[in-house]
Amino acid sequence: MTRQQFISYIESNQKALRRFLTALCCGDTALADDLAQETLMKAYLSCNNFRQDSKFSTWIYRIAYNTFISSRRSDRHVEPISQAYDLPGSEKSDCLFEYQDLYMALQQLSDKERTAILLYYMQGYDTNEIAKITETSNDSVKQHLSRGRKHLKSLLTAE
Amino acid sequence: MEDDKLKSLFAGFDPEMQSDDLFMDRLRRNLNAIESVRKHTLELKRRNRLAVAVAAITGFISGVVLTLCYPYLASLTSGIIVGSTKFALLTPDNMQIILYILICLAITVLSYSAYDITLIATKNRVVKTNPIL
Repeated sequence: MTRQQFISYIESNQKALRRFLTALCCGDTALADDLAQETLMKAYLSCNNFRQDSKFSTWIYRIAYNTFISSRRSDRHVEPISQAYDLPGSEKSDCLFEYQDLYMALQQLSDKERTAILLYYMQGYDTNEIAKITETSNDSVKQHLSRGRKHLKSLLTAE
Repeated sequence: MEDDKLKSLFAGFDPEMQSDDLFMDRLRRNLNAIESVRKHTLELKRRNRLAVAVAAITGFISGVVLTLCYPYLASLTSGIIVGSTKFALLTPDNMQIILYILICLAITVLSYSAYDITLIATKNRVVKTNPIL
């Protein structure tokens, strides 16, 4: 894959990746964009190693998931999103807090549950592809999906 | 909350993010930096391979020359043995070993110098081709 091909593929698909990472980071768009940049640089560096046995997008999402997990492991201090309730609001910030309830609910899920839910409902991947992305078994993906769904439903209906 | 509701909730998920153009500009800059580092690494590898090849050739040639000069060197050292009282204690067998050690040392020094000189000589060219460095 040449640089131009890579850039043109990313140009048409970066929005979905950034949306996914924003939801995975529970609304932290700056962190999500940093992770997206890191993901795409890693993908560019190793795109010659990409094997055709999976879709290119699946491969990119696998790198994104691993990058997210690595960033979580590094000792990064994240303020709980519930603190955002105390911030003074303006029209622009109201827009930014549009998904605050969703982010708060997503933050209650484990990383694996959140990833499975987002890949399934937001990105439309099936459980086999999610298993490839998260490098787990199909059964464990189904389990995470089921638990995450139940958890998310209870959190969203309670709010 | 049904599955369909979850699907529609995430389908309509469109948070406010940095503009696509800014994101792509940043990505292009990062890719340029990667390309620059990649080029520099390749150039370093190439320089190193060239220096190793030059050192090997120098080592081989100096080895051949010094081995051919061995009879002359041996006669030269025997002159020293005669002239010096301390060296006179050495037997001709020991002198042969010392001569070979000296030849090995000379080959090593010449090879290393050739390696170093090649690296220095090619350095200027790398700096010219990579103005970022």
